[in-house]
Amino acid sequence: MLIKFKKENSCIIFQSDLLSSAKDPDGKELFNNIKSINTVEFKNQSWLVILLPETATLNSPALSSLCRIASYISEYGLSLSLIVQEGPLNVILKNNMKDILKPFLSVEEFYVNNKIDFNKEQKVNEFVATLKESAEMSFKVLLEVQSVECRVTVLRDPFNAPAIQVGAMAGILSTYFNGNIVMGFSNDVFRKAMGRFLQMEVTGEISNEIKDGAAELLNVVIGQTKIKLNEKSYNIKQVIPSVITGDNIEVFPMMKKKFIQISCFSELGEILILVSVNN
Amino acid sequence: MFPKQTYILVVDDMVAMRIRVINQLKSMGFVNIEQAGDGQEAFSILEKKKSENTPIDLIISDWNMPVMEGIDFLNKVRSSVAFAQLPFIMVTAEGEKQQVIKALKSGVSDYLIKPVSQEVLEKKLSGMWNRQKAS
Repeated sequence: MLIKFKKENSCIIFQSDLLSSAKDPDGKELFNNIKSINTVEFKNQSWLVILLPETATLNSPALSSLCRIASYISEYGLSLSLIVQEGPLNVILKNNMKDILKPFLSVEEFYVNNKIDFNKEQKVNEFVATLKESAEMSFKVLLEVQSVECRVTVLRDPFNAPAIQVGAMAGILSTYFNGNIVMGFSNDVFRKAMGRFLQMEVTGEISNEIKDGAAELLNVVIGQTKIKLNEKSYNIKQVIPSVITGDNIEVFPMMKKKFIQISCFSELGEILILVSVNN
Repeated sequence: MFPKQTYILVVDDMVAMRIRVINQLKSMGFVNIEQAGDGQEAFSILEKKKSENTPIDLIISDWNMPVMEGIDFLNKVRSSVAFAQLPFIMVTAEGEKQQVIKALKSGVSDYLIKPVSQEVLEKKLSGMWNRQKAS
């Protein structure tokens, strides 16, 4: 029997009217349907979501079937959730079975309100990769460089990031993580970069108005990243960047946060992007 | 393209961004460029320039600004009898669909997502001028 389901946001979403109809009030056929899904499909998924299209009344045998399903899929690292698309979910609870069921009214509510670990490591990696691409593209346009190559390194020693002299810093929030991004330059690279960005020669002491440019560059890079990832429900929000200047500023994260260095090389020199996230 | 004598108002709270856009416009040959750091200051400049008989012909504005954001400035411009028809370009890092739709509903003439090169800005201004002439 061909079982239809879809995959979305690390969830396998399976529509069934079996529990709510006379066909399978005890959920035994539902359990058999779940078991017939090739377990290869469970790889890298976090949830099995069963969509019930109408009011369901779950009796004890049905709850037992759901427990069996939950137990079965937990061997593959998945948890079970139930969504009723119309009407209430009537559950005849027995013992501690209510802990298994988390009824929501819609898939969207489930995504937003549930504490789901959508493979957070994967999300952080995707964020960093997108940030890197956005930096490459933005630097090419705004700094008019022929080519930019950015390399990503996870810093095992958080105190090992290169020192910077001018930079910008912005905090970010997302459904999957929160963190902080610093874009940093040496004075020499910053002067050259600003010359290109502002379309004028930057000589003498770098004024505060020109240092503003660091914040604008970071703003644009994060903006591009937001556009790409918010389409995938990352829900990234940022605060307006602040500018930081001084001699040999060291940047390091709070303990236990992941610290990632993106080094962007072009004819202007190296531009650093330091990302610290907590998921 | 807009004539070189066109009066242009550049609005952005980031000084560096204003410097960039102004230098880009100067490279295109424009000579009459005003600037403001937020929507409220920008609207005051619109009124002042009108009273001096050198009215602003074109606005280029950011979205995220203190005091009065770009979208609120746009709404104020579009709801004022004196300035309702002014060409208004939003140049911003905010590129999400709902934001663009919001700006279009408020009557923005064009919407550019940063980073914007001089080439793109020039093309947009040219297109806008041609549409204006055609209508």
